[in-house]
Formats: sequence, C-alpha cells, structure tokens
Amino acid sequence: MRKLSRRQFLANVAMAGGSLAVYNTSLALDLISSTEKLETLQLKPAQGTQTIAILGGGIAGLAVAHELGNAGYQVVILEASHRVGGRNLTLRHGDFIDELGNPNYCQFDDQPNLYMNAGPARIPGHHRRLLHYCKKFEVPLSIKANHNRLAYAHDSEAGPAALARQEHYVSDARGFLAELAWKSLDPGAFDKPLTPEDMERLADFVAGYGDLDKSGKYKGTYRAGATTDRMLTHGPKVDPMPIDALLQHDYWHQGETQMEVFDWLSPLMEAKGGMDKIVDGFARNVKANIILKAQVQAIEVSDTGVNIVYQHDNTTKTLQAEYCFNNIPANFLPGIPNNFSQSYNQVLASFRRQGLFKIGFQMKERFWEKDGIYGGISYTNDRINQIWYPGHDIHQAKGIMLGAYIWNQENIEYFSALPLEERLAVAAKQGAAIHPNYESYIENGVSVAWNRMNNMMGCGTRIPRDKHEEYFPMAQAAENNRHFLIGDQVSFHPGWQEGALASAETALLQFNRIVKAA
Amino acid sequence: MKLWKIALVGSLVATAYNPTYADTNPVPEAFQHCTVCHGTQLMGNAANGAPRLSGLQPWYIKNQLMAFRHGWRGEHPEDHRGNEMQAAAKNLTADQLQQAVDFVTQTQSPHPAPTLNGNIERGKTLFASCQACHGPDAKGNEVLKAPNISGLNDWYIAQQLSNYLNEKRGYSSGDTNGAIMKASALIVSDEQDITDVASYIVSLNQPSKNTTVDSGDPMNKRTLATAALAASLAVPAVAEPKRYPLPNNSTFPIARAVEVPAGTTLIYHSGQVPSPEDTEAEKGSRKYYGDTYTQSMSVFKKFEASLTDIGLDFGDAVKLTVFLVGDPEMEGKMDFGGFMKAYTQYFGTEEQPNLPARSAIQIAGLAGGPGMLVEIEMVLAKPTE
Repeated sequence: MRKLSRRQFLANVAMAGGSLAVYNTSLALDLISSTEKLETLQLKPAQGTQTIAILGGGIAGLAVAHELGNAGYQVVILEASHRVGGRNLTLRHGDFIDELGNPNYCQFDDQPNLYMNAGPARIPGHHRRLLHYCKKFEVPLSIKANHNRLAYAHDSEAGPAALARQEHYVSDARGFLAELAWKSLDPGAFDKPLTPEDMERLADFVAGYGDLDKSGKYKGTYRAGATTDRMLTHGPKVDPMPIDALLQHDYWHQGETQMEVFDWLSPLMEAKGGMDKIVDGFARNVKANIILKAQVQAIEVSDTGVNIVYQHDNTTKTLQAEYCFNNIPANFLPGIPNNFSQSYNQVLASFRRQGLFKIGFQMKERFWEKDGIYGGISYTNDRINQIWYPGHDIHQAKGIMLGAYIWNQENIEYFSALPLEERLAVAAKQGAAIHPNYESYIENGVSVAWNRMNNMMGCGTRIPRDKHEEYFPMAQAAENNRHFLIGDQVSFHPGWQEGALASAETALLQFNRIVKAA
Repeated sequence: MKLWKIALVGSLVATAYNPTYADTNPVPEAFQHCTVCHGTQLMGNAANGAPRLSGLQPWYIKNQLMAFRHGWRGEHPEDHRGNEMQAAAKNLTADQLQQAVDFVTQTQSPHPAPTLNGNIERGKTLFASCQACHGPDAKGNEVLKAPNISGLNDWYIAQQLSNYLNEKRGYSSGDTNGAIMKASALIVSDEQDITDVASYIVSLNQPSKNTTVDSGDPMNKRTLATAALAASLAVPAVAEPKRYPLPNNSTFPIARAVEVPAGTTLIYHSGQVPSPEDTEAEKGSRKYYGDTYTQSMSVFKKFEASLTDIGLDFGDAVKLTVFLVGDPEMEGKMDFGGFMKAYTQYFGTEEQPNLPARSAIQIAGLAGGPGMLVEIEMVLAKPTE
C-alpha cells in the first residue's frame, strides 16, 4: 500500500480547507459582494411571462429555481436522471443506484434509521447559505460527531500492535512535542526576551500541554486512557509509544489534522433522517416545472434568450427560455453542441473530472458502540481510507456504517474496476484489520462510485489549479448575459453543497443586475 | 453587450453549432447513457475520455464492443477509461450489441476539430507506415481489421497510440487485433511522433484552407513512391530483380519477396555497425554511439560509402537482415521506430523506390559492446556485365 505523501496530504488539506483564502480572493475579484447575500436577495420580479431554463436539478439548480420561482419567473428544470438532488443522495431500502455498467438497488432493511449519505454528509456552522435554506425549509438538523478520538488510527504497514485509539497518538505526540519545547525553553530565544514570570507561565503551559512531569519529562498520560477500568481502581496509564513508532504511523499523514480543517471543525451538523431531507425541503418550496429524464442535447444562446434542445419521452424537443442556469456537470458540456464563444468553450473544456467513492455496510449489530465508539471516523492507510460510525439512532439494533470513504484517485479507480460484490469483499477485509470479526456483522452493502454514476461521471469536477486565476472569473460570468454556469464546480469548494449555493448566489446577483439594467 | 461578442457568436453559429441536432432521431432509450460520456450524437468528449464514434465502421464497433464485453479491452489496471467502457458494455446481450452497432452507425456529427498542435508534415511521413493497413485516407480496411481512424479525435488517437506503446491496449491475450496494432505502434517512438501522427490524421478531414497538406490530397510521397514502384513492376527490365509487393496494397516499405533472375550477380555485404557518434564520450555510454536512430543513420551512411566504392547503390539491395539490440531506455525493447526513421530515408523514397526483402531481429548484444544497438547486413544484386 502506498502511503499518502506529505505533499499530497497538504494538497488535500488545501483543497478542503483553503476556503478563507479563496473567499478573500473572490471578494477581491468582486464576485461576491460583501453586502448582497442569498439570504437577503431582492430579485426583480418577472415582467410578464419570462421563462428560465435550469439544466440539472442539483443543489445549485434547486436554489436558483426556488428564488426565481418565488420572483414570478416560469421555471423549467430539465433533469437527466430519475431524481433531483444531484449528489445529495441518501440511500435507503430499494433505492436505485444508477451506476453505468452496474445498475443496482440498495439492499438495506426497510427501516427509517438505516440509510447512507452517499454524497454530502457534513455541514459546518459557517456554511451560512446552506444553513439559511435548512432553517427556511425547516429541515431538522442534529449535531454530527465527525472526529472521535476514541475511534482508531490504523496503519497496515505498522502491524496490529500499532492499532490504537486516536487519543493515544494525539496525547503521546503532544507529550513528545512538549518535552522538546521544554528542553528548548530559553528566555533569549524570542525577539523580545521574556521575563522570569513569562518563562514560568510558558513552562507551565508546555508542561500542561503535554502532561509532563516536574522535570519536564513525558512519561505517558492518563489522557490516553488507562489499562484497566479507571472507576474503582487507579489503573496504570497506557505506556507511551516509542517515538519512532509514533513518527512512522500514517495517522500523521491523513488523520490527525483533519479535525483542524476549517470545514471539518467540530461540531458539525447533519440533516436528521438523511441529508436528502434538504433536497425534500427544496422540492417542497420550488415553484417549477421539473422534467425528469430530460437529456440536454444542444444549447443555443442568442441576444434574446437561450434555446435548449433536449430529449424527453423518446422525443426531441426545444425549450425556449429568456435565461438559462446550467448546472450540468462541466465534464459533459464539451459533448453538448452549442454556440458559445470560443473563450467560454475553452473554459468549459478545462474542467477535470474527479472522483469520490463510498461504501455503506448494513451491520446486524452496532459493535462499535460496545467498543465505546459513538460516531466519528477511524483512519487507515488501506485503500478504504476511512470508516465512519453513525452518530444517529444510537443503541438501535442495526446500523449503517461507512466502510470506505475515498478521494485518492488511484484507489477510486481500483475499487471502481471491481465487480460490486468484490468491492464489498475488499472493504470488509480491510475493515477487519481495525475491528475483529468485522465481516461477520455485515448483512449487506452498497457502493457508490461517483466517477461512474450515470449523468454524473465525477464528483468535485473543477478547473485545474494552474488555470484557476484565468478561467474562474470567466466561468462565473454569464455567457452573452444569458447563460449562467452554476454548481459546486463554479466554486472553490467543489464537492460541498455550500460551494453549489455560493455559485447560485453569484449567478443570481449577476442575473439581478442584468435584468434591472434591461 | 460588447459588439465583438455579437460578431463572435454570429460567426460561431455557422461553424461550431450544428442546428441539425434538433432534427436528428431521438436516441433509443437503451443507449441514452452512451451519449452521457460520448456526447450528443456521440460527437466525442475529451473531458470524459470518450471519443467520437460516428464514422466508425459497423464491423469495428461490433468488434470493440465484443472486446469490451469479453474483457479483452479495458483490462489493464491503468486503462481507467477503457475499464469504464468495459463496465458499460459487459451487460449487453447479443441483440443489444447489434442494436448498439446500429445506433452508433446512424449517428451524425461533424468531424472533430484539431486540438493538438502537431507537425502535420512530419506526421504525414510517419503515417506512411500506418497506411499499409489503415489506407492512405486512414479510412481503414476490414480485411486487415484496421478501422477507419479518419474521424477520431486527435487526442484520442494520441491516447490510444500511447496506450499501445505502454501496453495498456493490446494487453489482454484475447485482444488479437490489438496485439497486431500494439506491434505496429512501434512505428512511433515518442510523444512528438504520436502528436504529429494524430494531427496529420485529423487534418485529413479539415477544410483544406487551414492545413498544410497539399491540396487536400491524402496521397503523400510514400504513396507516390509506391505508385512509381508499381509502374516499374509493370515493365520489368531485363535481369532486374523482381520485387513482389506486400499483400493488400500495403505500403509498408519492404518487399514480400524479391526474385533474382538469371544473369545476375549477387553480392553479400558484411554486417555494418555504427561509428561512434561522440568519440569524446565514455565508451559504453549512451552518448558514445547514440540512440537506435542515430546508429542506424551511421550504418546507412557507411553502406552508402561502401556501396559507391564497389559500384552499387541502395536500389540494388535485395535482402536486408537487421539486428537490433534492446534499448535500455525503452525497457530493453528494440527501438524499431528509431530504426524505421532511418531506413525510410534510404528505401522507398521518391529517389530510391526499390524495396528489399527484409528481416529485423532483436538480439542480446553486439561485438561493439554495451551501447551498440544496430548491425545490418545486406545482399545486393546487379545484372551480370
């Protein structure tokens, strides 16, 4: 198994966590107005019958449909698949998984608590646009345990002895770092020499940070737990790991800092009963003609509107609209004939597919709870990458846990190429390295390879980094003042609903300026 | 709106946008998912790695769908796009497969525009070897199981050539046609070759105004040379060796056989090895003899001098045996393409159209020690004086 390199890891973190820098960049580009927001949007009402075509019923498309429908526009959503919501997909008993080459149905028991969020699964408190709609549509949310230090850190190369709870790694790492800091305490080492009082406080802080003894040595800590029940006896604390074993462990490369990433800061939230309750919320509040299984075949922009050729019900049809909001995954757009300008098409052709792969297992018993794990994630450097424990419906008989959560492209391709049953078998075997008898709890399972899902063929599709600066504003700007590209793909947060909504916000603000000027 | 934009949109309506899509037959529901990746009317989409399919012959579409279905194609663990297609084809019944062939055959889309900026003239020269099977217009030859590649996207041709060279295609033992192309792909040896050939093939279907191909005539020098050869065959000179061409109008520049008539003198020329390219370089180093192309050129130049000396020229050659040592920079495989680049400057040219019978063999090593990759021996014939 190849380890994730530090550079890859940093790239991943930047990918997921660079939001603040990105936000500031967008502000600088004047693409986000600091005063105008989705939450307070005042759209110019429709003048007579004005038709809006929305291509693709993902989160961005639904949000635009909601706002424009409320403002009196005739909204038509053309959705290629059998459902709206895009990658916001919650799988329950009998649900169809439309993977190209592997169409299949979810085998989970027919119970409301047995579901898997195949797409987005986490909402941080600063994703204001998404939370705005959750509040507006009364979608019940609950706190989601994302990081759980009682969950495990696993390194397939370090052997079974290295399988430990994350708290053990974190405590020992802090201990060793604190010991190192203690040794280097020197009042002259700072730009402005510290006073003796400052030094004393610093020493206290360092000792407290790592739980050092009075001589500044780290000899293990009760923070990492004890070797026996700690309630009636004062059991010995767990031994600190040898520093070389600690350093070699893959946890540092992918697990430990994930709790520090801005979009994964605790506490996170999730929609009660499944993330698709958000899609349901939109569906209840969208005034639009939603046409499912409508596949777009050509787009023609003119000075007066946008014509969309699409196929529905075995007939080729044309929709004439005044404006078009295009939520189709950008990797499909070079395959749809259009009359866009050369520069716009150049931007559209630059988007690159990414992937995301998840496996959900129905477990006949919530064995993780017996092990003290209630929600959160165990990290491994095996291909499955992460396993997630459900934090909802605690102490029920059964549960759906995530048996794999992968964004490493090589591992995604590996799993995607396997037949469905083999995917589950590989994930079951790798999970067994973390939990004994793991395989014996599995009743059934489902895999979702977003890079192979019909009408999607990717997740987190984006403009390559080296083209971002040049192409991003061009992708955001409406073509001919009529055609708006939207979706998480037109944000610096591909793969997040908030990214989709940010693109919807920018497009609607731009639309408003255009219709007000018209 | 800015005026330039109006003008641009107006001009593009005439070229890029094809309004006939509104009039085309609806896609059969069972195959709608094909257009998800391959685009409307299967026009091709680089973003999904899915090529344009319209224009491929029915036999080839069927052949490849079968190959995907049987796992003969898309099986290499790094051929991700091929594997995606394998998944899409694996559940097709025999009837559905035939329906898919019919659907693909009926689609209509414009020829793809060039996306690579290869050297078309150079690509044309390299394509000489491809013509043997794919034909001078790249439209293919069913007898040889060579598909029409003239309507494929340049990026796809390049990707597939690269896959053949890296053994990602022609990988499975079941892919017998792929194995043939895998061997033939050695004609190209690097990314530049691949880009140039792909650009040339796509240029065959571009409006002639923006190409450097003379008068849109897909015939190139190689074909002309072959035509000249054919003419020479029609009226054989007395005591001239008779050169039998390869079957199926192949233009690969060797003879199937050469017949040496009575009244002819045969000359057996010893194997020639290259002179050092860089005598300053350390013996045994790469620089000392250079790559296979450099060494082959050196060998042919030495032949040139030697043949002149004994009153012969390359046109008298009736049989060549080519010994190539595996190139350590090509994972120990012989650089056949490098050799061919040199060879085609001496045989089958306009000036020297005579083609010898020939064998090329990879051997373990040569007397010149490490770094020496090429030895060629030659049999020549001339009318007895």
